[in-house]
Amino acid sequence: MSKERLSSLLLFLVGILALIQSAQFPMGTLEKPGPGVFPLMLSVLLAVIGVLLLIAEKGQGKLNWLRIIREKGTVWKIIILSAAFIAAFERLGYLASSAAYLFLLFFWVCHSRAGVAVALTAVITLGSWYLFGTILGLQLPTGPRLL
Amino acid sequence: MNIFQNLGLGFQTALTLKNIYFCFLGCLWGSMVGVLPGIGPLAGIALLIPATYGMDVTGAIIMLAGIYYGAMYGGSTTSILMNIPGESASVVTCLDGYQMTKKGRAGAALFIAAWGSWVGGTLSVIGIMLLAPTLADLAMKFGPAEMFALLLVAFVLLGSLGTGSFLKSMAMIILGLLVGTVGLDNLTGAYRFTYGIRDLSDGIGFVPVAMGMFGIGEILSATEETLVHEFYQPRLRELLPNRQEFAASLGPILRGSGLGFFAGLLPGSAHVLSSFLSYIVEKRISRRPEEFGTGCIQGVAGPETANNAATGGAMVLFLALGIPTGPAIAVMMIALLIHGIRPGPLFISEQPQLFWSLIASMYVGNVILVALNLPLVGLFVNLLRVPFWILFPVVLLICMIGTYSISLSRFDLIVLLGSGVMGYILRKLRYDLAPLVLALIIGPTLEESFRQALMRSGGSFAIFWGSPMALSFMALAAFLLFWSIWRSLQPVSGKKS
Amino acid sequence: MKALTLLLLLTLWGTSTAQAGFPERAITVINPQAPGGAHDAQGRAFAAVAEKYLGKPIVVVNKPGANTMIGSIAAAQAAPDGYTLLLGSTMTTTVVEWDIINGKKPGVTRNEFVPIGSLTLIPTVISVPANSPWKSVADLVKDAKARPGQYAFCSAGILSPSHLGAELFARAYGLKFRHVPYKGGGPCLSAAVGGHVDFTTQFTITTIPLAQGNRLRILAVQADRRVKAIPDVPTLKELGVNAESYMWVGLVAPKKTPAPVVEKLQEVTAKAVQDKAFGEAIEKLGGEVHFMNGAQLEKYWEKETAEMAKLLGDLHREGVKID
Repeated sequence: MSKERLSSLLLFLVGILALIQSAQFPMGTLEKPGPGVFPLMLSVLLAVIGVLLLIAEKGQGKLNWLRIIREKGTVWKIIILSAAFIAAFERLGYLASSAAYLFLLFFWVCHSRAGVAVALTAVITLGSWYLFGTILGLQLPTGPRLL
Repeated sequence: MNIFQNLGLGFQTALTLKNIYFCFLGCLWGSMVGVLPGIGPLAGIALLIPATYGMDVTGAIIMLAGIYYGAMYGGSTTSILMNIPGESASVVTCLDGYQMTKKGRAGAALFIAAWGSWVGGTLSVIGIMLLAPTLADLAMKFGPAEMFALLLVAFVLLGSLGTGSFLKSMAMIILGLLVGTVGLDNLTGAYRFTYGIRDLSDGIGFVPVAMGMFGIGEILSATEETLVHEFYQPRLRELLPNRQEFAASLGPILRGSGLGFFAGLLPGSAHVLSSFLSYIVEKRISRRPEEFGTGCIQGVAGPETANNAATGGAMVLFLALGIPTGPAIAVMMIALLIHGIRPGPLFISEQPQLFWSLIASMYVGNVILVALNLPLVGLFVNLLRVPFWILFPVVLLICMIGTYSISLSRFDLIVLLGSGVMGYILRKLRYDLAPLVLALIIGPTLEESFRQALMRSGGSFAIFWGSPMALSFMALAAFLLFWSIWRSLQPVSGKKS
Repeated sequence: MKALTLLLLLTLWGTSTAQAGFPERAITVINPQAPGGAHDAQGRAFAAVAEKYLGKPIVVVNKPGANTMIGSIAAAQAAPDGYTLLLGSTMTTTVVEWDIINGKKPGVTRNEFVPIGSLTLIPTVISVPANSPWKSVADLVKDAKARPGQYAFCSAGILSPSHLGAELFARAYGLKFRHVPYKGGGPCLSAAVGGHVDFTTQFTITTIPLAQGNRLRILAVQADRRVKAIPDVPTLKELGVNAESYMWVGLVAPKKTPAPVVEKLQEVTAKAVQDKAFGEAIEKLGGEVHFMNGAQLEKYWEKETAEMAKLLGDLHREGVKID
């Protein structure tokens, strides 16, 4: 299956799923249109467009899943690191999580030298902490309180 | 007392050293928060309110207003340089602005954006000065039916935004509208598509989505191939727009000012609508619409002027009636209240000193801003010279913080990353992102206005052509729809029209 | 064993130092509503004045979402050390009660908080557009009785005080109206001024300036006594009808906050709220300061919860579908 067909199929499926859900919302009356009207209309339209695209765009080539997983290494790494950052952010506090995030991005993803990575991380983390926390006065998580 | 006398008195107050200082501070602060993605004028103003406690009210309002329109100047910077919309109004600037950067015309884009912003800002202040009460009356005539009709026009025009296949753009628009329905339905209190997740109950914010899809998606795409990207050394000549670009942007700037100012009068998503409408109008009017989306200066000049002009328009309702049209202005209002001034319809007549000082300071502020931003063009463009592998992690971190700062919500970060991945995938599949994001922005208001109108009229559709405004917008929407369909059928049929 | 004793000592030392020096740094007040509303105005005005008495900065942070639930839950779950407070209000009561009536577990309950003190108790007022033919409540009622379900009012949102105030009013006279919800007070008032609805029940704070500017006409106050800023406007009570509708705004802290900290906060709040500067700010807002200390607020909150339960129960039974 080519990637064009896959995407059209996905659009169609999303439309159908949304359709099933929206049908359960109250439709209301003409005087008080309910929450279901709009989503229902939209999901029908989406499903229809999905079908139309399926027909119109044949696309070529097959999707090679192994290739996708293997070749886009950098992209995967960035996504994983970002997800980890989001998970740790409130728990570990801003300083710790950004430091880890940046360091790993520089060192692991960009293959910079360890020393350079540490230096950059230190400067940017502390600088941004100052900028956002102090100057801009944002409430950034401070992590576990150590007495 | 005629206008010029009043203005003269206003300038006397505004041009005192103290007030110029406050104006400068506000503009500087505003530019800063505008440049940083995610943090917008709202946060900037809210953060500085405590600092205004000890100030006199004139200085305070001058400073806060400076933050407000100052942020509009900065918002275009990240949009143009990195495809990261600093805030909602700058989403449209990404489309051509970033393409211009890729073509090496970043300096020109930034310059024209600052220049257009000045013209738009100044013209809108003139608008406020001359027309505030009249315009307020006009804005009041905008009920749900009129709002729906206007948004319908915008919606029909959305379809022509994309550069790719019409069907694919439509799919993106529908998807955007669907995502917009997630959350609490304000009109009935029902939760849609939330599956019990409380964070979803306010829907999926469009700022994280826009930042994710445009900015993070772009970063992911760029890192795909290589981490070494060619950077160029900009020469001075390349920082400035050439004569052709200057000439081409004149029209869009003038049109953008008018369009933006009137769009700013509308409550709600005023700013976004202004830049978006300007983009669409320019694309329609242009003799070479195919160039839009590939780095066309009109696509930057118009929208950036419009969103600055919209700040003026947005302040009209506030100054003339005391009704805030958006959260940033509402917070400004609170600052005034804390100082013991009550904004309302009597504000202009009860506090002429304050009103005219504010107006005068807005002229001054726009000048300060253009003086601040133009030289900074060089600085910003040189930012691009930082090696990509250093730049993108920093950008990622800033996007994260900026998003988090909006409502201190971890969920927004999840949306940011998710949209980034989605944006990356959609890019690979060659779908246009702009229609999705814009549909997400105007969709909820479109639906809400429609249902509010029907709730008002008790189910009667007559409300949609009842007032002259509603009728004309509906007619315009219908006309544009038929025209779009007719145009798209043209080459396919192969027959002469 | 030694380690355990050491740990015990450290924790005792930790908590005692935390109490002794309260406050040692800035405290955060979570406003569970979006910035720029009436809540925000009062909260920030309060912070401006209370900082002097507290000796440390007070930062108002907005955490909007889910009809005040997101911010309220965040506050309830915050460390009970007195450094995080909630700007509570009637909205909390309403939303919680509605969940309970619908058989859902509410995000927070009243019992998760200890009241510190109230800032204001603000009534809603019934107002009509300036060009409306109605000059008094009697006019409104007459027309509404003649054509039930014909006239519309706008509100700042479902379950908001402006919505419930109108419902109370309608019920008291036995009237039926169309309800057009808007997103927030601003758009709602715009609609009223523009004549897109027939009347609205919004707070004094936001309505009075428009009335003084001749954009709206206030017909009645939904309280038991007249409002200073609009002395000529009768109350519904005077008109013989029981349809009072208030919103209180105040500070609450997580339940487990230690007593000495709570006392200090209550002391500061009492002083700040009764400070002249705060009073002036609120009056300019068109409101009136109404201070209730912790115990009084607790009682009022209880009473309000019961009243809300009744009203919302009625609405629910009549099939008003809100999720």
